[in-house]
Amino acid sequence: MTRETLTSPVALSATHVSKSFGSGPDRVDVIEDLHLSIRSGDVTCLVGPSGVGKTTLLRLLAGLASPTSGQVSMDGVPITGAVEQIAVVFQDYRGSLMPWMKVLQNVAFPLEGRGVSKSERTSRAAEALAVVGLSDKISSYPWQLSGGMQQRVAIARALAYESPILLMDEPFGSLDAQTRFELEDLVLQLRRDFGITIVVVTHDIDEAVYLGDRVVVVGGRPSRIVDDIDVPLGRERDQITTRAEPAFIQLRSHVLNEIQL
Amino acid sequence: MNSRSYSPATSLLLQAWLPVSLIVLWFLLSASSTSAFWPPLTEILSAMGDWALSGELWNDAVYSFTNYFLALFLSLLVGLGFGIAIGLMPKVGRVLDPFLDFLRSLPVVVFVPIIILSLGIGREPKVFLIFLACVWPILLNAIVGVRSIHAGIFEASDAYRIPLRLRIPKVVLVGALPQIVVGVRLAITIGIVMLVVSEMYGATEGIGYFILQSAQRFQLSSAWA
Ligand SMILES: Nc1ncnc2c1ncn2[C@@H]1O[C@H](COP(=O)(O)OP(=O)(O)OP(=O)(O)O)[C@@H](O)[C@H]1O
Ligand SMILES: [Mg+2]
Repeated sequence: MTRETLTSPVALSATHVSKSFGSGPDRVDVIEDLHLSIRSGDVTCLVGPSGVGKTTLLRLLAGLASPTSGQVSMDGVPITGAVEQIAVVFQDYRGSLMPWMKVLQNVAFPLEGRGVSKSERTSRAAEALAVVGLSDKISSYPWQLSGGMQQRVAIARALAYESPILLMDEPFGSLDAQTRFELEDLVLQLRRDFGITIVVVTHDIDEAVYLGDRVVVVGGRPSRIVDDIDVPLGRERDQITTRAEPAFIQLRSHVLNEIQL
Repeated sequence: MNSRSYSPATSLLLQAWLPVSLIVLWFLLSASSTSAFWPPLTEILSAMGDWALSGELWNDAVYSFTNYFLALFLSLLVGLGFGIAIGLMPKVGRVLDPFLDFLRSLPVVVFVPIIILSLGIGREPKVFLIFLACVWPILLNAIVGVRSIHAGIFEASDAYRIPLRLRIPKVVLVGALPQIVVGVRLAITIGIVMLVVSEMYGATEGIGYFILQSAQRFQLSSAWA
């Protein structure tokens, strides 16, 4: 696959970003004056308790919502809407795949909008589905698949889009532990094999520490960045040995403390 | 498959017993009828035969159904077009919803004399009347259909920058299709009713005109036909 690469060491940046919903007495300030730089090639995990504004922050970074004030830039260029260089995997996979399209069509569909020829769409979609291990489900409908498989389809759709940045919103939140481990390793594989810059939003501290080269803790109301930690675990991770390392255990209790504050 | 299955003839009989027995009952009860308002079924059938033989049935039917399909086509075009546009724009929808509910609740029949009076008695007012009756179920169901599409579908379409020319046919129309079918079915039935009603006022041709003519001349067997 030919994937466009980023020229700047900072893939995404948010400067002085605030976001509120509503106006007058109903106004809710969700995010206030937030600064964040996502380094190219990193897996960055955003952790925070439920309702703190993680989805809101991700949508701002993806260009799906515009900040009330401040600016989001991609590769140094301000963004005002969705861009080709960013693919998104959503929190609710059941609602984000088109139930009337088969798995292959779901994955190929975004490429149609880009004017990619039909034969290339099909081969790119099939290739992406092979990476996520779903080659045998190409002609099923999404609702015929398990939750974990549906989320794999959503990941394949992002992969076939061949964007250098991938944003994931609590991608494995509603899956069982076994499936979750498998998909976490799939994310690490995507970073290793394709050099994709990945942002994973999660409320699971273990997942954040296991996946992340960097863990960013979001908290408060309106929310801001509470802590920003480089994870000293190296790039190769293993579900059993990494989770048993003292550095892992020490880091997860550190983050847990911050979230409980 | 070990559930009970019936032969085609048996299942036809199972489905058709009610209409068939009603017709037989009508036949029996009306055979001896002397009431001017309930002509015997035999007479109705022979009147229908005359109507068909004289060629008038076909002329009337062709005239009526041209109006009907023209109107249905127009209401499909307008109902789906506006329905999808309104469904896609929640703010516009919130402003328009009370008006749509009000307009929908007006019975179209009250417009019949007004429109005939203002547009005359040609083909256009009839097509317009049928259109007016058919467009509401299509429009309202298209709006509901678009709104029933999961928000995540639109979010994904935004994120992957699906252009409007693909989004309308492959996301919005397909997503709203089950509800649109409900609307079109309703329109098909309502259209038939309006077709007859529209021709009862100031018409010179058509099925409704035939019914009315027959009724006014006390040719009740023809009207029933
Ligand atoms: N479109 C909206 N209109 C009004 N308020 C909103 C909107 N979207 C989000 N909010 C509010 O913003 C706050 C943060 O929501 P958000 O979905 O970003 O949280 P989250 O951290 O992703 O939560 P979770 O972990 O449960 O997914 C909530 O209080 C929510 O009510
Ligand atoms: Mg969320």
